[in-house]
Amino acid sequence: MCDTPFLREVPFLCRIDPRFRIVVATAYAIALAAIQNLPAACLGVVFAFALLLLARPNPGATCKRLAIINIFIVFLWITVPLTMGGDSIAALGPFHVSRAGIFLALLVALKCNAIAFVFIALVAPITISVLAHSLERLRFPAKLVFLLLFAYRYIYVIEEEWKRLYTAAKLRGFRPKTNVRTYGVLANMLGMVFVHSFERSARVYEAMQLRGFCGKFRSIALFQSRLRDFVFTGAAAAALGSIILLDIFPGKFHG
Amino acid sequence: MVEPPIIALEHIFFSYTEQTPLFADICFAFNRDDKIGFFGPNGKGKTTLFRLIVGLIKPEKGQVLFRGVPVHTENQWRELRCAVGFVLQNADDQLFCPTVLDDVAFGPLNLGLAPDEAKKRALETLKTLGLEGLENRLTHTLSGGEKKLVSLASVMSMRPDALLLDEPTNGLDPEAKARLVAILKNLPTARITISHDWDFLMEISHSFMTINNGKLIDVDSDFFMRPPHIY
Ligand SMILES: Nc1ncnc2c1ncn2[C@@H]1O[C@H](COP(=O)(O)OP(=O)(O)OP(=O)(O)O)[C@@H](O)[C@H]1O
Ligand SMILES: [Mg+2]
Repeated sequence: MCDTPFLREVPFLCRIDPRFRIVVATAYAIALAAIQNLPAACLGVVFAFALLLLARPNPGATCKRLAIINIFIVFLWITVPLTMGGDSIAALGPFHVSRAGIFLALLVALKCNAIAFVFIALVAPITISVLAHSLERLRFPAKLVFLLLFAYRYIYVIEEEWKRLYTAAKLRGFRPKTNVRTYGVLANMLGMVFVHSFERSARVYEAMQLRGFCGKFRSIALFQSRLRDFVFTGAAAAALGSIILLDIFPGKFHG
Repeated sequence: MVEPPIIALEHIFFSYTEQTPLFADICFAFNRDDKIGFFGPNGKGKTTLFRLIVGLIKPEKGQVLFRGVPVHTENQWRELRCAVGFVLQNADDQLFCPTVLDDVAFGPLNLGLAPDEAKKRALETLKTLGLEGLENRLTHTLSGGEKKLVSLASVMSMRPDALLLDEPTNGLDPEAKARLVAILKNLPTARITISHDWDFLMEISHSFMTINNGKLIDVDSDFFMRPPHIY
C-alpha cells in the first residue's frame, strides 16, 4: 500500500537544493495548467521529458505511475470528444466526434503528462523529511508541514493496526463474505482503527511535550544554495518563459 | 546546604474514577543518585505515577516539587520535562518523526541547540547506545526492539538529570537486553525503572519500591530472595 519506489539517489538533479526543485516544479505546474495552445503544451512536454531523462528515475516505477495517471485521461478521451458539441469530424452512430473535444482532450493529456514528468523528476526523489523541512523553509504554514510529517509517519502504523485487527478476526474464524454481518464486522474494525488513531494522536502529543516541545517547528536540515542551484533555476525559468511566450503569441513563431 | 531532591511528591491523591482510588496520600522523594526499581502487578498505577511526576496528569490533591520548588505553570512543567526524561511503554508513540536522526535530534532542538550541534549530539547518543548506522533509517521500518532502543536514545540525547523508564526491556532479545543492562549500569543518571523482569531490575537498581493500597512502599533487595512474593 505504501511503497516508495522513487526514493533513491539520482545524480545531478538530486544534488540541486530541494527548495529550488520544489519551487521550479510548482511554477511549472501552475504555468502548464494555464496554457491554452497545443504548440506551447508540446514544448512543455519536451522540456519536462528532458528533465525526466536527466533525473533517470526507476523506469518500471515511473511507467506504473504514468499509467495510473493516464487511465484517468483515457476516460476523458472517451467522454469529452463525444459530448463537447461544435463542428463534428466524424459520427459514431448517434454521437458526433467534435473537433473542439479532440483538441481539448489532447491538450489535457499533454499538460497532465508534462506536469507528472516534472514532479517525478524533481519532487519524487526528495525524502519526506527533507520535503517537509524544505516546505517549512519556504514559509509553508507549520501546521500543514506537521500534518505531512505525521501523516507519513503514522499511515504505516494505522495500516499495521488494520492488518492486526484483520488477522485477529481471521484467526478466530472470520471469513469475509458479501453479507450484512461481514459489513458490520468490518465497520467495527474500521471504527476501532479510528478510535485507536485518535487516542494515539493524544499520546503522541504528550510524547512531544515530554521532550520539551512548545509549538515551534525546528529541524536539523541545513540548506545551502549554491551557484548550480541558481543556474538550474535560471535555465528552468528560461524554459518556462519560452513556453508561456509560445502560448501567448502562437502565430509569431510560425514565421 | 542539602541539595533538594530532583522530584518530590507531597501528599498526592489521584484516581481516574471515583470507585477506584489509585493513590492516597503519596509522599516520595527522588534524589540525584537514586536508582530505583519499581515493580507491581498490572494496573496498580505504575505508569500513572510517572505521568503524575511529569505533569501529563495533575493530582487531585498534593503537589509536585522540582528541585524544591512547587511546579505550577506550564513553563515550569516544560523545564521539569526537559530535566526528567520519560521513556514511554510504547515506542511507536515516542517516535513520531520520519527518520531516526530527526527523532533523536528533536529533543536537543527543543532545548535550543543549533541544528548542527543537535545533529552531532544525536549521532553521539546513537553511538553510545550502539545504534550507529540506524540514523538514516525510516522509523517505521525499525523492528520492535530497535524502536525501543531508539526511543531511549531520543530521550538520552536531551542529557536529562533523571530518567523514568517504563518497561524498557519489553520486546528486547537477550542480547539487546544485556546491552541495555551494560549501558544503564554505566549511566550515572538517576532513574526509576518499571519492569516485570526481576533479574533485569536487580541488576540495574540499588533500591526497590512497589505500590500497595495506594501507597508507595520501599522494599529491600533480599525481599526478592525470599520465595513467596506478595504476588
Ligand atoms: N486514561 C485512563 N482513564 C481511566 N482509567 C485509566 C486510564 N489510564 C489507566 N487507567 C486505569 O488506571 C489503572 C492504573 O493504570 P497504569 O497504566 O498506571 O497501570 P500500570 O501499573 O502501569 O500497569 P502495567 O503493569 O500493566 O503497565 C488501571 O486500572 C487502568 O485501567
Ligand atoms: Mg504501565
